[in-house]
Amino acid sequence: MAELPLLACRDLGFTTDGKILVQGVSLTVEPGTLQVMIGPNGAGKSTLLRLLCGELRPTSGSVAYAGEPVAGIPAWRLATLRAVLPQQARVAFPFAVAEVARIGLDGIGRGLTRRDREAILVQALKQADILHLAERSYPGLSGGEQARVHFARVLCQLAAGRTVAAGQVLFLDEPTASLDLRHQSAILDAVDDLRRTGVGVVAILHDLNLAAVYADTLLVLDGGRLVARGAPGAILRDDLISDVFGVRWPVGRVPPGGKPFILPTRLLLGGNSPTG
Amino acid sequence: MRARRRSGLIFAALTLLVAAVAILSVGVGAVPIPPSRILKLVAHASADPASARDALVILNIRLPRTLLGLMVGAGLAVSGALMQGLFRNPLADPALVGVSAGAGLAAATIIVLGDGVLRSLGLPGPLPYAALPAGAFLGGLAATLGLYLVATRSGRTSVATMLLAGIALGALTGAMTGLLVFASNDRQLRDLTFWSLGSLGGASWTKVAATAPAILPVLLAVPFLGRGLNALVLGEAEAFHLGIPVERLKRAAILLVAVAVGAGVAAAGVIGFVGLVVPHALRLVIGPDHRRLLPAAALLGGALLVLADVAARLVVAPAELPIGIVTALVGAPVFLWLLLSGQRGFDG
Amino acid sequence: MTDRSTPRLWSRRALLAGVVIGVVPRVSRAAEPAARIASLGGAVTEILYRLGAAERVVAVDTTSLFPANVLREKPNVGYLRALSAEGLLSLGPDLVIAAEGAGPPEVLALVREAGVPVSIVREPPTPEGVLDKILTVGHLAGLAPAAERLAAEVGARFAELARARARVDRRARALVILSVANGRMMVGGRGSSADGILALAGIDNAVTGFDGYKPIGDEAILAAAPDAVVMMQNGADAPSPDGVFAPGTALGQTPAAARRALVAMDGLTLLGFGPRTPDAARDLMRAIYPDLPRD
Repeated sequence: MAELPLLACRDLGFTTDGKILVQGVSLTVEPGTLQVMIGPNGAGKSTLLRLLCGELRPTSGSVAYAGEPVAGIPAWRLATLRAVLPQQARVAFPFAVAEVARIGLDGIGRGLTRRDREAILVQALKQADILHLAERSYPGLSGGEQARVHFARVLCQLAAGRTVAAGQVLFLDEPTASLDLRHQSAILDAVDDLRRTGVGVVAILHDLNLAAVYADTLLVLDGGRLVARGAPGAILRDDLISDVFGVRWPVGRVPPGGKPFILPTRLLLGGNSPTG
Repeated sequence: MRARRRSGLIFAALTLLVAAVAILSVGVGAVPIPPSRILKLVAHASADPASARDALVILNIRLPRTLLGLMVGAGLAVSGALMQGLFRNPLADPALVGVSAGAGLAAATIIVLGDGVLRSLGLPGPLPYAALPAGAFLGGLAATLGLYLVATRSGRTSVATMLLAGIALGALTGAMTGLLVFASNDRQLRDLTFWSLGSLGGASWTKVAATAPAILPVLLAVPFLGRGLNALVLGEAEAFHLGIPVERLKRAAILLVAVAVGAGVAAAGVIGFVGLVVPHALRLVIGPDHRRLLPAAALLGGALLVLADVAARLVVAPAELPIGIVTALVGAPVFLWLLLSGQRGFDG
Repeated sequence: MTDRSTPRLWSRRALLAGVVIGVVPRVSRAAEPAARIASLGGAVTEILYRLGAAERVVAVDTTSLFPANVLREKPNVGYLRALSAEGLLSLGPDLVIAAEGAGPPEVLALVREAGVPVSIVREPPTPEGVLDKILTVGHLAGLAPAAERLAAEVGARFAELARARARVDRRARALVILSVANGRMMVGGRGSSADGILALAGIDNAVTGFDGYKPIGDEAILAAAPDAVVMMQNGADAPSPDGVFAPGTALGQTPAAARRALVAMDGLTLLGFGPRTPDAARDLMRAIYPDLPRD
């Protein structure tokens, strides 16, 4: 019997208020892969992510973790199978940074002593580069620092979940949105490290260049459909960019034949001049 | 490590406070009884007829009153903390789930119309006096249930809808209570006023026995709710990602709060500020972690309400003040002070 | 009012009158009168004082305003309807005589549990009600002979009053204003004690549209068109006709304003329905009908 993928969805669809947000999406998440969802606003990226992590019930199709339908997995066990880094999260009360990160540890995992949990927490804070902020109050942090706190929380959850479930999926919804360049690179490097340990990663990124550098597979969404799936080098082409994103930005390669990159370009076409 | 030792110290202090306040509450009152006698009475209900009155004062007035105060105070404070966690808003208060509004309207209805309705049905009056607390309790539950149904669509409860609907319900019950006030006579009006100001004066073992099954569940649930509320602080979706059965948690919290606050209102009238101020004050001292906040709120809430009751019955003895006046007189300035001094509790 | 025990300590007359609603029998001391009485209710206290039992009163409530020194001299256990069990017991009463409506009921139950009998006295705003109240309080306090004398005296006053009332040929219509708050007047309607005292004084109530005390608006005042206005006087500051009937106000346009017919009387005296009620009714009658021949 072939090993089951960490996550598989078949013919996934989601309709609300008569609007089709996701339609006919089938994909699998294998251990040690990093797939990046790209697509314009309203393409259904976030909805697909919420369907995959079990937060939304699909109106058609199915999602299964290691062959088990997600609808039948209780919330506590699902929490050991996957973690989700949200785009932004307001914390309603003045929790300290370490306390917020520790929420990812509480009640998750088996056979962890207090000392084990402490070690996981410190490791996660270090990896997210916020160990020095551990005692600070979360609401007083900058947006980027807050994002790193949640990353630490997700790291905690994955580490604790590993004591229960062998394979795990990590979902990231625009993890780099509020980060400076150094922390963008740091967080994606950390994610890549996780991938190397066998975590299957699905991330939404708006920055196509970052997507091209870190993804082993790109998932291109448009109008709720998966319009392309493949290695960045294979699918990032001029026509895809103009078809899906509606801009004529050329795709270049450095070195020639290597990783693709996209260069923003101002094209003056057909009297559509912004000058004047 | 230091934080853990600190919170251990705080819990020890709170437990001592509860014990000290309980002893004070049993030890003082309008009837002067020496401590040595109290000890004897509590240890073995003395058969000495000369101390029969003292025995009654201690065993049937002060003890049930103290227990009722501890329970109601703990129930209100824990409910406040639960509501603040559930609504992710430090200004939330148990009244938000409509309990007080519903209970108030039911009480007004019974006070103003009860005897008249009984008479028109040809039944002998007056209403048994258990009708008022029982009606208030049911009114509170009915209001919460109504709000819950309004705010729940296809299995998901929107706390924002519930909050807004709660404001509408408050206005509606306020207007209906106003109508009843208009229809009331002078005596009923004063009854209504005193009822709405709250008092532990009617405490009895019967009341304790009737109230305990409604308030104890919320207190016993405390160890199981902290983690879920902590996760909920990040948002409902995030809490679900962290393994919390969010809808079940919301349902349980709302039900527990409605039952506990309903019973508190039924037993002691409307007592404000305990549910709002106690969790606030504690957050400043032991932080917002609900696993510490909830049990601490139970202890401090119980202690403060009993302390307020001691003040209520000593200040103008042998008469007594409505306890709602004491909690609001003390609670409102404390709340203002928290607002002005401790921004941490609000905006961080 | 919720006590279901059987009254069996006093005369058949009181029993027949159904005046006493409840008392816990205390067989051991049934023979001797209570030495320490908690007197709750303005009229109850007034009667006990008139019967010469002032020394035995150990506690009063906030409505015990007459005689004026009562609240200064006796411990006050608070408002009649919001009593404290321990507060009452701390004064060591061996009898509680309370006006109808005393409570809360749980508190009275605790007091009874402590072996202190609690008697509730009904207060219908009628002459019979006053006489029954006097007799009942007297019996409870073990002062039956004195009570019967006082009842006879008060009864005679009521009879006198009835004769005077018969001489009223054209009945005036009066408005009784209990209080003014925010410009809204709380007035006495049907079945209120204000209605009762007006009837005794041979005066018609100008408002008949509702029961008890209610706030009413300007139009209702104009519609009531009272010939006279009765207000409560609190201590020394009596309401002045110039203020009450100020031009432009609703009261200023009533027939009462044209005659400057304003009567201000002490609230408890007027509405208390105690031994002074016939005198109060007579005073009110004289104020409203100044031309009525005197006895």
